Amino acid sequence: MLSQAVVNGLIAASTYLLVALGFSLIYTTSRFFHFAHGAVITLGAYLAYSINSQAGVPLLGAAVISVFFCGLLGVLMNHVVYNRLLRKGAGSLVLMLASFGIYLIFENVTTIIWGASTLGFSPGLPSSICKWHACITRIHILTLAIAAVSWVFLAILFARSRHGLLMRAVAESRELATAYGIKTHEIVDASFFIGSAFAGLAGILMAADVGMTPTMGLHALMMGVVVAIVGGIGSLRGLLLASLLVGLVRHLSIFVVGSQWQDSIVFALLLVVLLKSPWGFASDAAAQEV
Amino acid sequence: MEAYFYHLVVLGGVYIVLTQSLDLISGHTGLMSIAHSALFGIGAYGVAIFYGQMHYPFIVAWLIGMVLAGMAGLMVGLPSLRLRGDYFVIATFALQVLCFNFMNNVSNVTGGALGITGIPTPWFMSTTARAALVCSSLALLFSFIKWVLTRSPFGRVLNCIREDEDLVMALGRNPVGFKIAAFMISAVMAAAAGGIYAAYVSFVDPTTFTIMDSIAILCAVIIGGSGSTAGPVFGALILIGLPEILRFVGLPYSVASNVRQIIYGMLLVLILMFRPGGVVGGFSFDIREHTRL
Repeated sequence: MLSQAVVNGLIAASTYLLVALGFSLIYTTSRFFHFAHGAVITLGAYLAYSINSQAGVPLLGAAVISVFFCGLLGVLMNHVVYNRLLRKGAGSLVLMLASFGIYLIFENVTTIIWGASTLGFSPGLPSSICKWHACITRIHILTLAIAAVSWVFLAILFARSRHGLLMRAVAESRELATAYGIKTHEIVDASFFIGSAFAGLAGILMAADVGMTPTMGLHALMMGVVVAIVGGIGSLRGLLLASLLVGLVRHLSIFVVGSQWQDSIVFALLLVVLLKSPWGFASDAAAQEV
Repeated sequence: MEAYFYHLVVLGGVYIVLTQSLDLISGHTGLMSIAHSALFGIGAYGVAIFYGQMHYPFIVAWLIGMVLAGMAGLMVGLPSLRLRGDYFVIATFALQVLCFNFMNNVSNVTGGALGITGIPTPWFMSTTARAALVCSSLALLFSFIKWVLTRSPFGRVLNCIREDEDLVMALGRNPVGFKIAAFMISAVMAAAAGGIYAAYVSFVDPTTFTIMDSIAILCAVIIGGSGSTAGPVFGALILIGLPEILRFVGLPYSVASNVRQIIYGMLLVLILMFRPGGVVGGFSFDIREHTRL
């Protein structure tokens, strides 16, 4: 039982990590909480479902196409809504409110198109490997691997590449970066594309595991946001630690309280972290800014 | 027809109290809360449990609900209000989830997913006409209280917090104390609305108090116009009016609530883009915050 809970915790942690990576990447460059991220998670799953089952593309291909569209969708949201608001001088509060509006639109359009009941990809339950009283499916292994690869990808991008350097510059100060001739809009677009692609990927992986509903994105986003804040938004190491903490706490808590309290435990954890150390694990001054 | 009209007046009154309470914290203090349907729910469950099941006098149950909501407000306000705006939203998110889970899961207190039915109608709501009178007076009363509050020295500090928190500190006031007080007052008002609502509809269940409702209420206030007295009233009218309009248009019940939320979302985005002060032209949250970064 314990080993299974730990495994479940790790798998949950990797989906939360994927969501949190995208969410905080977008926050880092554009400085507001992009709640419509949740809608992208959901849409990633549903797009892959439709491309797979209706257009007949194999699941892997459908997933790639869907992830690409999710990235584009993020860029589109940025262009159609956020950029226009920014040009009118909107602050982070207004952008966040607008993201609520976008989320409402997308979740309900999804419900109208695909219905509110749970859908799943066609192959059904995948075979599982069991050892030490814990079972793990191929989807689970894939989820763990993708989350790890994504984390390493971002770490290398930020630390080693020129593009990552530009992103960090924009994160430091958008005005200053613009003054130095950096094409700020392109950098922000890139972060929206990568972040939203991560969200779509997370959605597809979750849907392949337990199926998809129109509200799955909101729930995944909630957990991702908790991870982002507990870890200290913008700190990659913090995000990794926090996603493990949140995933394990969520799944180990069933030994103490009923499973219906999993979300409450996670949010209680969040409130404690906010009270004790508002900047999460990344408590040094530099991390507050990035 | 008459009964239907009174019914709308009752709901309108309840929602005006709720939107005014949210506007106090979001419009006047600049802190967006997405926990207001949960706070509304605390008031509703207070009346359902203490008045409906334990048969305390209505007014006592109503006050208990308000005190509980105030305490919930304090519990969330303490950790988050020391931080700036964005984090407060996340903390209210947490409050919303915790409250919903409490309502949904602690079945021996709240009736779980089935909720609590058969709350007796208090004497002052025995006919719909009477209830309409009571609710419209309450809406007037609470709008007036908010109007007085926001024009008092206390309210001026709140407005100043919204404009520039550092300035408040420089002028020798402690913004944290004011923010916590404002959020508690707002929570108490939301619970007051919830108590009346529970007594009127005579049952409560958790599905009335979800995160989506909280977001819809916030949308309504922003669409109506933040930081004004008329704006929240207009917002409440949208909350009441839109479902009725959609019903008359003849949308099937299954998609009506989705279409309603799509319209809220679209109106919100359009209002933010083209008329940031809301329909009545209240306060617009524009450049001030971003220049600070």
